[in-house]
Amino acid sequence: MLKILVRRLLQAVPSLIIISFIGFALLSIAPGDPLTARLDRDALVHMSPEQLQAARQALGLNDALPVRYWHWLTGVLHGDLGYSIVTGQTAMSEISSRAGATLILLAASVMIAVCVGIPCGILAARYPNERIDRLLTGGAVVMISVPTFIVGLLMIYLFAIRMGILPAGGLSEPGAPTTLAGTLRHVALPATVLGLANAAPLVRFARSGLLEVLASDYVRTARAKGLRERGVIFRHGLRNASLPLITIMAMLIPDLVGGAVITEVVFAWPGMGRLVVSSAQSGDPAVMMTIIIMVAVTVITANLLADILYVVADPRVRVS
Amino acid sequence: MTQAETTSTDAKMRSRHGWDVLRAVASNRLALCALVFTAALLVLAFIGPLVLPTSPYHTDLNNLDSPPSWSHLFGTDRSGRDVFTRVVYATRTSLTVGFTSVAIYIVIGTVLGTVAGYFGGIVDAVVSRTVDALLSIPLLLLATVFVAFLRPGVVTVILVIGLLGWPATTRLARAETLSLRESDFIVAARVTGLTPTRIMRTHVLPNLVATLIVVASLGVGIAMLLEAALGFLGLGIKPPTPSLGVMITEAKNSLVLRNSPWIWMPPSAVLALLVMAVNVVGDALRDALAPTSDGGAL
Repeated sequence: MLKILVRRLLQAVPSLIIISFIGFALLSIAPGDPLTARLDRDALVHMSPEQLQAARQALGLNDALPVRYWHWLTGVLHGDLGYSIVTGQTAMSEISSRAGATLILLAASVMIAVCVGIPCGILAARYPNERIDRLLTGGAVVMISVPTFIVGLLMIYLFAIRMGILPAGGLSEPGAPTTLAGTLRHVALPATVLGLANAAPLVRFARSGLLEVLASDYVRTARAKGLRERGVIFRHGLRNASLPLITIMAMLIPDLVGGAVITEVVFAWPGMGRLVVSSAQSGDPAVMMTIIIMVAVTVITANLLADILYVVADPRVRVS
Repeated sequence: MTQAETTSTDAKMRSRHGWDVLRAVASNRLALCALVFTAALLVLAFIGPLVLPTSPYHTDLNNLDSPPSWSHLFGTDRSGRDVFTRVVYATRTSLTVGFTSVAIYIVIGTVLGTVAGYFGGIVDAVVSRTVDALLSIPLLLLATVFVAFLRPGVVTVILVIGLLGWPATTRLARAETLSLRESDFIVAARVTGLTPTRIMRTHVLPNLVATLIVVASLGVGIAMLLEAALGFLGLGIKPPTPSLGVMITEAKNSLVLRNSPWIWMPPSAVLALLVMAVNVVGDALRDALAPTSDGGAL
């Protein structure tokens, strides 16, 4: 078991190195002078070409590419992810002030996705090819196909504009103090949109996973000995079908994050997704790069954890 | 997966070709409707621009933001442009981006995946780890940051999706090649002294076609969603070029969202139905061809 874990851990290292290449490439192809992010604009105007040259030399901007990569990488590993050329703040501080909002949105969405997706998947697998199954799998196709921003706009149109029962966007009313109830009201629509979008693949995977298990011999045995259907589904079926779901949920994180970017824009949610879009619009490489690296590291770690959990939980993986 | 299962699916895949597959798809009523709908939109999107009387850029200053009428079937937007005409042109943009970008990444993914799977070793390691790395970043996020530094336009979007979308295809092609590599007919081909290139082209590739068709058909939907999402985020395709995503962006203005549903609902409906239709056809193809994978969602 240890061998599998170590091998899996080592596999993540090259991926992380490649991610760092992508991040560095992003910085290198970005137009504009990194100097502007590091020095005061007023000071820059008054500097002579020689002084500018010296400043670039001092910051290592004239070094060869591999040297610059190495400098950059050691910086990143020490937590220095560069500066925003828009605000002059460190990319890290730009992001950390918005991470909370994104985490609230993601947590609420995941909860909705799991609470809706998995029971629906079980229900569909319980009555395969019957009306309820077709309804649920059809609904999943719809939710996979209809873009998040259209669902979001429709929700705003219905619940915020036509009915006026929920706020159309933002994290709180302008000027009002942040309260738990207020935050919940504000997160309701975006989390529903993002949650339902991610529930759809869960319905499909839970359904197909459970169906596969229900076709196995030990389930037939359980049925043959007269176990009630509920016992068969929950005790024998679900227990065995839930393991692959761990891996699948980790695999869905990239989709979740991608969906969060759009959801945040639609609902004016002050999170990292909107930050990445606005920094893309203003061409702010350090902020974009930092978010890319953070997301990639999170996803790789999540996949790693899922695999480790899998090895720990399923003895069959250890043997083969 | 066990050896027996592999052989049985292989046999199933090989016995079902051409007309059989089409018949299987057509026997699914929903899939048939979706196929007809997609075909109809294709015709409308590519013939429409030839017969429509107005240009998507023509502004009718007497009819700004006017509701649907006989002269403007879907009404006009805030600049007085005909929404119906713009939807037709935008659908053409969507379909063009969807099909061409997927064509690009299917080729890249197939070549990389087959080579990695066939040769193994260091080539495989490099390709596989790059795939892992790229798949750990949501494609939308990756496309967003790369589009940011390039000249906005349809070609840029096609290239960005085409050049970044290959990892999922690569992973599938590699996995299939790995299992094919040990099968008897490939070993036999190797023994007769065929070059690896020849084996991959004439023996491996034909066996990947079923999987690739499914990946491609589901990929078109994803690519169209991406194009629309980028347009909606104000990246990629910029106004006034007609794109469904760009048209839907109008609804970010709450006045438009509230008072002029004809501006944002038609492009939304077309985009949603089109992607749904493409996905239903893709699902039906997957059921008909029964490849071993889940179709490789990006």
